Amino acid sequence: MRAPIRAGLAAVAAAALLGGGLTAVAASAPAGRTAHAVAAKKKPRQRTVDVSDNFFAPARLTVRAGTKVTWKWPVDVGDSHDVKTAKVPRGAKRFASPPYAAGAKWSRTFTKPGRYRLYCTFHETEMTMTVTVRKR
Amino acid sequence: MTRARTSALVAVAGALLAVAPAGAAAQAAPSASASAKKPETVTVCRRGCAFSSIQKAVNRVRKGGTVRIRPGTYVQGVVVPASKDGLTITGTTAARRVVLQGRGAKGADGQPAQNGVFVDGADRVTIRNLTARNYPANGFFVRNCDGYTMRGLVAAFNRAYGLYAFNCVGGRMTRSRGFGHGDSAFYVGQTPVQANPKRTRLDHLIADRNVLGYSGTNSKYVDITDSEFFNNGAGVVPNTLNSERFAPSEQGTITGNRIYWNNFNYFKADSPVEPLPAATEGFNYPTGAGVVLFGTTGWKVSGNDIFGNFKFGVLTVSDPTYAPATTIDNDLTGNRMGAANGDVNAVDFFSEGSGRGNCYADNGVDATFDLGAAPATQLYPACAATRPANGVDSAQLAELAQYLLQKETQEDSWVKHAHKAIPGRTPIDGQTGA
Repeated sequence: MRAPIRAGLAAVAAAALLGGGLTAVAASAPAGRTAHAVAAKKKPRQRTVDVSDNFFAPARLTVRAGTKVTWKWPVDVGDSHDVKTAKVPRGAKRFASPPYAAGAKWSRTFTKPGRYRLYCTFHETEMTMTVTVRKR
Repeated sequence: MTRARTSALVAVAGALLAVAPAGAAAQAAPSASASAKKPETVTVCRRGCAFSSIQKAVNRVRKGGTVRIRPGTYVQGVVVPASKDGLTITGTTAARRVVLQGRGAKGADGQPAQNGVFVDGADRVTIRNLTARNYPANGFFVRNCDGYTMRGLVAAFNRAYGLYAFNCVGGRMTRSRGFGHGDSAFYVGQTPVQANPKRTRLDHLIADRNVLGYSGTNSKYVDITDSEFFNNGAGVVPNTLNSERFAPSEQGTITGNRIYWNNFNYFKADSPVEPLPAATEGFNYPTGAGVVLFGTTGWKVSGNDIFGNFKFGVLTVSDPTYAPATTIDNDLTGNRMGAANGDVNAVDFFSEGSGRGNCYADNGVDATFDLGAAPATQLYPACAATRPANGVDSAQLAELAQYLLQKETQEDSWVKHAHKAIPGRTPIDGQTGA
């Protein structure tokens, strides 16, 4: 048998904002550098999504363009899950992760604004999520 | 089982159906000339061969070729891409001497290797004479394929499944053994609906010390035969859930198997097998059960020896919250139950009466039926030309629900006794299974 949704646990695994901000980078930049160089050193924004039996947490995520989203499979899940696009904004590339069960990470950087509908191919009737990408 | 989110997801699921995995068809095959330059057979060994990495050998060999693996322990995980239709991966000797070890293994992507061998969309791949143990997911795993053969394999203490097929059409698992799995030793799930079904055959298998011996969510056209399921929590469990596509599980057969002593109380703290979270939300899987038909349609259970299970020989039950998981038109006929084998089940048959068209015949004059408030003719009707009506018995349903709400204490209501000896087999009977 396959593991079920754990809707009640969804709130427990909230995504963490890990990325550094422009302010911190600018403060450490040597004097005389151009604004372009500072922007180039800006760390990408990052968000994390937990992959569990059978849900993504959070199931809805709003990020700015350029954000790197990392899906994390906890050490002790056991059932296989993956991340695949069901629907993407026009011009955006589709993607699919390999299936993982435990102790893995997989990332994707979202550059094209719009709404991305994602699902797990093993549990596609119930394990879905949406990423909304806003302009920078 | 909570289904509250199901309706809210229907619209999303509809969209997803349009982009369902296309399997091998979605993958670009290498050109004929490129493939012709690749060797037909390559050999892998720990030292002194062209390859010490099974993955590199798989990458190198042509479509339809063979990767031979000499004896040794390989701390690796292997992925067979969709471009490798017809590939054979085989140990050169018996499985016990050619071991894929999951503990400490890394995949090509640097992540922990999840499976011993994972066939991702290639058709007609054969995996033979290998052992896979201690992987965080599965021993041997195929998905999105048209045909496969798994033969002479041993899967041991992988976290989820031993031999695992998902979203495949046809296939065979044979002469293999699985033990120590947190879900099932053998699993066939999400079988696509087919007008002219290619059947999946599981034969000459041994499953012991697993949470479930066989499990198959929404599995179809599966024939399970000439196999042994013993010392599991439950022996053979085809089932219907809304977590996967293509509900219900239907048109399978369970014939000519020995299904006994499935009294493994893996809920105990010292169990060497940690169960995955149960799919039946809020309810736990039954232990002490030989066969469980959970929301199946058109399965035939016949000619099996089913004995020495301390709670149920055969349990039939529906999911009242999910209509496709209703037991319909299942036949339980011609089985040799507990008394006939000199090793009784607590009760040979238990039904809560749900569904329709489920019938019982020729299971021996000594076969026992768990009686509820409803008449036996409603819970366990005889097979006849016209399918019987059945009808839910709330007393039976309540009794079963109460059992499934328990974990370790399920054992408290088992009817235990000494078993008739079987050469080479030792019963667990609620102990750790170590």
